[in-house]
Amino acid sequence: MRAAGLLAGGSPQRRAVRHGLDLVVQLVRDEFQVRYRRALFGWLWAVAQPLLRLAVLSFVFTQLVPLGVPDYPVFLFSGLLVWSWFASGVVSVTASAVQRQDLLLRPGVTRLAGPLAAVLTDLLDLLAALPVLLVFLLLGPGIPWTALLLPVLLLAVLALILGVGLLCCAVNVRLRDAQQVVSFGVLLGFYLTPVFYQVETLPENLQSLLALNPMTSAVVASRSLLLEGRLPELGTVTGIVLPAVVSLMAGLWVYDRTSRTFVDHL
Amino acid sequence: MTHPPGPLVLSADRVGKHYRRDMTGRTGSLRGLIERRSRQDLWALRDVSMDIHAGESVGLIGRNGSGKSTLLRLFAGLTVPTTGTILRAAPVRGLLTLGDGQKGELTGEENALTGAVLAGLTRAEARRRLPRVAAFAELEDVLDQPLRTYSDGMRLRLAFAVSVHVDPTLLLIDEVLAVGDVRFQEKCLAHLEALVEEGCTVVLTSHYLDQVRRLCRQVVWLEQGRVREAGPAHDVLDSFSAAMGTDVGVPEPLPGGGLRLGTGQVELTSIDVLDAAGRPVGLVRSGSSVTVRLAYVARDPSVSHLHAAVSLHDASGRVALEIPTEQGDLVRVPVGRSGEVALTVDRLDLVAGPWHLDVGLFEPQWSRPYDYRWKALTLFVDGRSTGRGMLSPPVRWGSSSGPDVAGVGRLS
Repeated sequence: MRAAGLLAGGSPQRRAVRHGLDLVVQLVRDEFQVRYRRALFGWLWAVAQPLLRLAVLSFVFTQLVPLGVPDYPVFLFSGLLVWSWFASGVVSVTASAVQRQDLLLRPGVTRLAGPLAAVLTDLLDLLAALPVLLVFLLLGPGIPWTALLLPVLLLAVLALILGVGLLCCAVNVRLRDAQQVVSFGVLLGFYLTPVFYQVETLPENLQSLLALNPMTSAVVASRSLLLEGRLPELGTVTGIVLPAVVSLMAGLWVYDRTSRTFVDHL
Repeated sequence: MTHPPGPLVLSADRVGKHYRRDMTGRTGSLRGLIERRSRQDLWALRDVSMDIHAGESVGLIGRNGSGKSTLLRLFAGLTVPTTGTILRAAPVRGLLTLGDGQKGELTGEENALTGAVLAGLTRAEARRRLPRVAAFAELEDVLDQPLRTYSDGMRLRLAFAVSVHVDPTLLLIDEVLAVGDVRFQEKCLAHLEALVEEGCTVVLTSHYLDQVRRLCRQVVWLEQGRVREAGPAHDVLDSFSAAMGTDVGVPEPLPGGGLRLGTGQVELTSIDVLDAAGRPVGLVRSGSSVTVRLAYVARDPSVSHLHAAVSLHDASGRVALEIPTEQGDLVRVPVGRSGEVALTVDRLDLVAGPWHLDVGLFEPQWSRPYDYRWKALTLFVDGRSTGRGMLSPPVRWGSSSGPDVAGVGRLS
């Protein structure tokens, strides 16, 4: 009964899991439709936004302040892709309980439905931008076989987003300040993650500081897979997987305990 | 009960629910947490025990704040009790949040599918059930239209239709039968009756005692978080009604679509709108003088004073005017065996259209209404349409023009 607490109560477990999946699919679908249906260019906007950021940053760091990174647009794109999902994902998971109070007032709906739908909706933006990156790669250095391992990396990032997001979400229900703090942190995090620069170009002491940021490992791993065509180093893998697993477990534990009384605070 | 009870479906065992109310009104902010001194403890439920068996239909009644909705939330598993235990042996398919979470950008069909999945169906099941839902809601023709084009009534019809077409075995209903037009309400009641006949367990809260009488065989009366009386519907409803005769009671619908609430110690006998000449009117010109006259009889000789209030609002509930007796020369109105209170508005500068009138007579501390009538009557204001807004006071535009002045910058 305890373990099933987060899933729909009572009915046989297989059905509960099936229903949970259907529910998340339906919620993500709705959210995506609402975002892009009435726009003339529909989901193209999902692609346009990262492309614009890409164009601006590429211009700045190849023309104004050249960093001397080879294949800079692809270098930037491969980091931006993963970072953007993390940034938007953590923000929307944090806000999910407050944004979708209606889900928490539905008997029998798993309380994880809101956060899951939030992070997966943001994943769609990544999936929309991915083909563009692949085209960039094809036109430039080519697509290495290691790109096939991207889903594994995304799974680790998903765990990290959920872990961090669920913890912040639990706080946000009691203190709406959390939402602001998270937006602020994400803004800062963009500079503390080697999205538009290389870690190697930093001074030693800054490098070790940045290594504490799991998204540093995620971005570095993403470049190994998509650009360099080799498996990430063991240190990089543990640098993302370990924090991802630990934060996910902590996040789920805290969320499970606190979400039982969320509706009392909303 | 004539037949033996089925297996236990829901059970509350000495359940209590405690809330901390933040009295500063700053819920969910850092300051609210710091300023703990202004917090108030509240036991919404205290030591409540009850068993509900399969196939039973139970009504929860009581005044606002008696704990009905809290109990329903606990039964639904939306939150956990502070003390005691809740047992639930069947999946809940509730109507607790009818219409919440609907998305205006999506079509009625998409909203219905999501609603059904949220209520416990898989996507495939939801799709198969769609025609029946659409037929029940009488919305087959507009199902592919965005929900934002629907009226409030249509949205609620759709939400209700979805909620009752998910094969519920346990249905929790919180006040939602108070919505929709009378004919559709009747259809919903009939459908719920059929569900109960088929063995669905229903627990509902309602302010409408008629609905409770019709749908429920068992009734639990909650008062200040405790069970005051529980048993066969007619017994409990009778003692509830009897007790409410000297208390505020539950709102009763008025024939014109309004609601009435109050202790009945002083009762309104007539509500009239009079023009400047003192003639009762239903239509007044914008800007003219209007008097609202309330006539009453005092049923309770111990009542010595009262307050009165009159407010005017439009169809969407926006209040244009709200005037209690405190805001005039009459501070506390002395009460005779019968009498009148009248409010005169010297210039009623409202835009043309129908305006709803709420009137009420209250206890001197404003704590309870003696007789409060929401949408007691509709006053039609006639006048030139002045575009948007609520007010239509006498206005004048002026303009002047002058010679060309060199060096005057643009207004920016």
